[in-house]
Amino acid sequence: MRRTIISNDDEINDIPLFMTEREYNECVNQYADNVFRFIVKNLRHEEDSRDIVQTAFEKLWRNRDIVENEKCKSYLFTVAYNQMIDHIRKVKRLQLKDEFHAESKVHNYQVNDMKKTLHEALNRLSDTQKSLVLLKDYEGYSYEEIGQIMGLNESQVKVYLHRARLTLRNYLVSPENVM
Amino acid sequence: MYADNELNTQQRAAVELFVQQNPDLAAELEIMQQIKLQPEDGLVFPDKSSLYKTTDVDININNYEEFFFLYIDRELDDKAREKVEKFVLQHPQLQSEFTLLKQTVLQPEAIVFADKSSLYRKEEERRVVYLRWTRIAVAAAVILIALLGWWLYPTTTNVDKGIVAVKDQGKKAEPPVIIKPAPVAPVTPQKAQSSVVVVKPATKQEVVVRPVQKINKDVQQQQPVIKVIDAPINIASTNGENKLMPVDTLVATHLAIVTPKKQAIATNTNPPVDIIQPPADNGQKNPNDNVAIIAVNDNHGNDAIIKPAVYKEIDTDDDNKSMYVGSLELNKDKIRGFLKKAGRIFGSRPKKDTN
Repeated sequence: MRRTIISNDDEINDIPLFMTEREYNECVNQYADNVFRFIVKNLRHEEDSRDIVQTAFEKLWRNRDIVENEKCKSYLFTVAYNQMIDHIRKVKRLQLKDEFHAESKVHNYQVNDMKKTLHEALNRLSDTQKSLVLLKDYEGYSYEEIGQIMGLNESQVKVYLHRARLTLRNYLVSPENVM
Repeated sequence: MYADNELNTQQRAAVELFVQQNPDLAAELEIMQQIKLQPEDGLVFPDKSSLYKTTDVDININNYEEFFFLYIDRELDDKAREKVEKFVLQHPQLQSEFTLLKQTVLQPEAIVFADKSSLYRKEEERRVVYLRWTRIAVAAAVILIALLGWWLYPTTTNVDKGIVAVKDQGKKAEPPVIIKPAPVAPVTPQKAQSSVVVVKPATKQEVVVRPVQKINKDVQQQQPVIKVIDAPINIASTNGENKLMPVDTLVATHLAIVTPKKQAIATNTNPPVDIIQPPADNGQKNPNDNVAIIAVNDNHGNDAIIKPAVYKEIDTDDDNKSMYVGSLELNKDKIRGFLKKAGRIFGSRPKKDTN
C-alpha cells in the first residue's frame, strides 16, 4: 500500500505508509492501557511508566511508514520493554532499596489472600522473569512473540518462563505464606 | 603439535629424531604429553528423556511437568489439553501439583492509561496541500469576480451603445457629463462634421450631455468632472431637434469613468475651455433642451469653435467607492473587507480542525 504525502517543501513524495493517522490513533485507543499496565507492573512507578509509554508511542508515530498496522502492538511492547530495561539499569540502586522496604513489609504480617501473595511473589522475580510472566498472562503472547519482544529465542522463553512458574509456586507454598 | 597429534608420520619421525639428538629437550616433550586431559567415563547427562521431542508423544509420567507448563501457558491445542486433563484424572497424586501450577497464572488487571489524548497525533502535511488548493480556488474565484465587476462596469456604458440621452432640464437633475476637449488646432466646419462639432445654441442655452450611468448618489448636485481622452468626436449638430446620436467612438471607447468632484476641473482645465454649468431649472422649456450636443464654451468669445477633440485624463476615480455588477451596486471597501475575512476564515479553519 502506497500513499502520497506532501512534504513541507511542497514536494510530492510517493512513500509507502503502513499506518495512517487514523490507524495510529486507533492503536493508542487499543493498546495504551496494555502497554502501560505491563510497564507499571514491572517498574511499580506510575510516572516513569507513563514516560516510557509516551516514548514508545512517539517512536511508533515516527516510524509509522515502516511499521505495519497489524504489528503495532508487538512493536509497542518491544520498544516499551527496551525503554524499561534502560530505565531499570539507570535506577537499579534505587529500585533495590524500594524492594528492601517492600520485603520488610512482607515479613511484618501474614498474607492470606492468594492474589496478593502472588503479586508479592511476582515482585521477587528477576526483571526478565517478571516480564515473561506479564507478557504471557496479561497479554497472552505466544513463546515466539515473547521472544521477539524480549530478544530471546523460543526455547529460552520456555525455559525462563517455566523457572519463573516454579519460583512463584515455591513462594506460594512456603511456610510463611501458608496458614 | 606432537602432543596434540597434529603431525603426520614424517613430521612425527622428525620430532623424535630431534629429541634423540637433543636429550635435554626430551623431558620437556614428556611433560607436555602428561598435561593432556583424559575424558571421564562417569560423567553422564541425567534424564535424557527430558531432551526428547514431545510434540508427537503423549503425556506420560516422565514428561508430565513440561505438559503441565504448556497447559497453563495455553500453548496446547484442544486435543492436547484434553489429554493432559485426562492424565491428571488418572494420576490423583499429581493433581495437587497441577492445581498449584495453575495458581501461578496471573489474572489480568484493569489498569488504564489516563489522558490518552496526549498520545494522539495528526498529520498536517496533507491538510496543507488540501488547504493550499482551497485557497487557490478561493483566490481564483475572487479574481474572477473582480474581473467581472471591472469588465461589466465599463461595459454598462456600452450597453446603450454610446447613445447619449438628452437630459430634460425640467426633470430632476442628474450629474451632467461634461466633455472637455483638449486644445487643438481649429478645424473647418467641414471637418467638424467628422470631428468635434460644437454648436452653441443661439439662446445661449448650454446643453450638457446627460451621463449614461449614475456615478454617486452623494454628488448628484456637485459639479461633475469628466475624463477626456484623445480622440475625434463625431457628433451631428442639431438645431433644437430631439435627437439621439450614436457616439460610439465618443463614449464607448474614449469616455472613462465620470467622477463628480468639487472644482476639480478648475485646476485642471485648459485655458480655452470652461466648465459647462448645469443649466438652472427655471421651469422654462426650450426646444434646445432636448438636444444632445457636446458643447464647448470658449472663453474668448461667443462664437462656436469647432475643434477636434483631444481627450486626456484629468482625474481618477480614487474616491469612487462603488462599483456596479450589472444593476447591483457594490461598495468596494466592503468587498475588500469581505475577501479579507474569508481569507482569515480559511486560514484559521485547519487550525481548528487539528485541535
